[in-house]
Amino acid sequence: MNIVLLLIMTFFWTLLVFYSVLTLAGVYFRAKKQQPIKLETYPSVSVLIPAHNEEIVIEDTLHAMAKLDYPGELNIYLLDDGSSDRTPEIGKSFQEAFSRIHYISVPPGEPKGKSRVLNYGLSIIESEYFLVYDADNQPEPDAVKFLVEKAETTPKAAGAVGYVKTRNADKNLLTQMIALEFQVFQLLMQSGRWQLLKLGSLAGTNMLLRKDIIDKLGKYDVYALAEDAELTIRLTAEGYLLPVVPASKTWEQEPETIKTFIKQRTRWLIGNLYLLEKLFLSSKFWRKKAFHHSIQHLTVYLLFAVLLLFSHLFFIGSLFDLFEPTYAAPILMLWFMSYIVYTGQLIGAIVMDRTVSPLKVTVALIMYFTYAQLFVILLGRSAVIYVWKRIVKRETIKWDKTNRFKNRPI
Amino acid sequence: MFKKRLYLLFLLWGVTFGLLALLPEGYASNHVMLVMLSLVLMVFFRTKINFLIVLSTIIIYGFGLTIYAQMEDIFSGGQYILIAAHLLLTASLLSLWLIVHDVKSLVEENKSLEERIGLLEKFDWNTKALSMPEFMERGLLIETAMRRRSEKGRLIYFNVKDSVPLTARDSLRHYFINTCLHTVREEFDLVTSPSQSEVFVFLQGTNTEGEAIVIERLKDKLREYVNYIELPYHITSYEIGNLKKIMEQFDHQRGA
Repeated sequence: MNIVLLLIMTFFWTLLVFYSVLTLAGVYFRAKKQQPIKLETYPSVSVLIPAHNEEIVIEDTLHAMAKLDYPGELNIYLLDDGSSDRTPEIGKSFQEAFSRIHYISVPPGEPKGKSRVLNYGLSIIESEYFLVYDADNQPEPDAVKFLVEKAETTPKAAGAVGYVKTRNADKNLLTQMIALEFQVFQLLMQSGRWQLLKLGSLAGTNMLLRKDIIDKLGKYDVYALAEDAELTIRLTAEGYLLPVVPASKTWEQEPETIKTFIKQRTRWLIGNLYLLEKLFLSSKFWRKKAFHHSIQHLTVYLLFAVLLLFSHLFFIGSLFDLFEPTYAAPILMLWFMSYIVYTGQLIGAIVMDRTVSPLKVTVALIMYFTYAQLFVILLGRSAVIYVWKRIVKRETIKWDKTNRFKNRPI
Repeated sequence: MFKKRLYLLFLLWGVTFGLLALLPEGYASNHVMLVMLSLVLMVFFRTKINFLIVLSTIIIYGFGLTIYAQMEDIFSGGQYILIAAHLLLTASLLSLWLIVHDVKSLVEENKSLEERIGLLEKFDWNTKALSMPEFMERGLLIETAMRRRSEKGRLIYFNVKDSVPLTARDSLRHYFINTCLHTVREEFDLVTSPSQSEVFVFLQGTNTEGEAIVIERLKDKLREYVNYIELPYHITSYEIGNLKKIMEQFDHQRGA
């Protein structure tokens, strides 16, 4: 029993120290001054926007795309995956007005989902780079330029990853928390990993990639629901780099209701469980720096979850006098430090974004006890669905599209 | 509002220091040392780097306390004291960071306001001569207008002689500018003085003869109050064709 507890303790300690170092490195990366880059010539870029019934948001998205300011050749492709609402009508109206915006109707096919649509997009473009934006995204005018400049000046770069900001953060407490989570885990931790280990990971949107590299790798895995995480590991295993560019910003919508949030996160977590399965089945995923991504995936989605389950069992058991715990470590201090590091990350992200406000700090202070605990519940739910559908019933798990909400001004 | 916020922060900082007295011996001296060290570092860095310093201190101190608890076998209620000590230091450092940030923001704002005032100011407060940006702006406009009318203009550069004692230069400059302003045509010619030793006079619609008349008149007026037989300034003059280029040459000379 004591050995199990000791292992749990060591694991949590290691995670805590590692994430503390990562936080400090991330804060350092974001605080240091970035030198502006200017290229002599700018390569051609295609923007790919997969869309399925996006009439609520697509007009605003295409407005933002029309405003993109890029010194080289830029084409924007709206990849319509069989929409039955006004998405085609809106897309075609933009195609008529702007020479660089193209409406493309993607032929029907299986399995449904973003990866298949992106693969179709890749088959029709001829540019050096392509950039993916989700259908609810509104990039800032210079977002593409910043990504290309970084990708072109970083040796061995397969592309570059930008920053995803939440446009409806002020809607309610849930969107406030999602926005904060993105600030930390989508940017601060990314920045830390890039600063310390020269590792970046694709975010699914606002990400630039070299077309020839992705073609060589066999394009997107059409069965991957977390296609960005899966592609990140494949790229890193081949020795490619994905630099992080905080200056390249896009604004996207996050779920405004718990129901939509659960649906979205369940899809993400199922995608990550699929990736976990791939890690066990392929040695390719452990090559070079991909080892780091894989070990992180394993620690978060397997070890962390299993040890947390053990920890909860011990806790409940000791409440009912099933165990007689003998403390041989300052458990309370360890828990307290978990809270400090987690909250430190959140507040650090707010400071680096210069968006400090009493409300945001209060949200950061309570997130450990509320939002963070949802992860455990959602991971449990996703694991049950995954085992039931993929292992017991042997079905292909379908892409579950996130519901959109009417946009408000940024 | 800003003042209130600063007072509140100072109050919070004071309270966190006061509460140190409630902790067991040893904590207070550690806290004072850490806070002072952080304060000294914060004076030299930007707000974002200062936050990195604060966050590093908070995390390292927390891990230090945890290791201390492990070494000293503090596995039960004793941990609450350590948590309280950590919370006090965290509150103290964060409020100090905010105070330093606010004070630095004030200094920065003041600097940028001074720069803006410098740009917006039309006249030198003491001498009533035009400020340099205003001189350039008006000069360039007049130059374009003269070109259209096929007129000529002169720029006279006065540079104080080395023989003039340093102690008297400021007063002499003040009087000299005043005399220039009374000698040239009001609302027509321009006068500026970018440094203690230099004065520029822009004469529009004037040739070399007109320039000589102005200089003679200036000498006569100066003699009424100044004892120098010769004019205490070196004189160089230029025909105005490209004012910007001429002034850039002066800037270059000054820089060299």
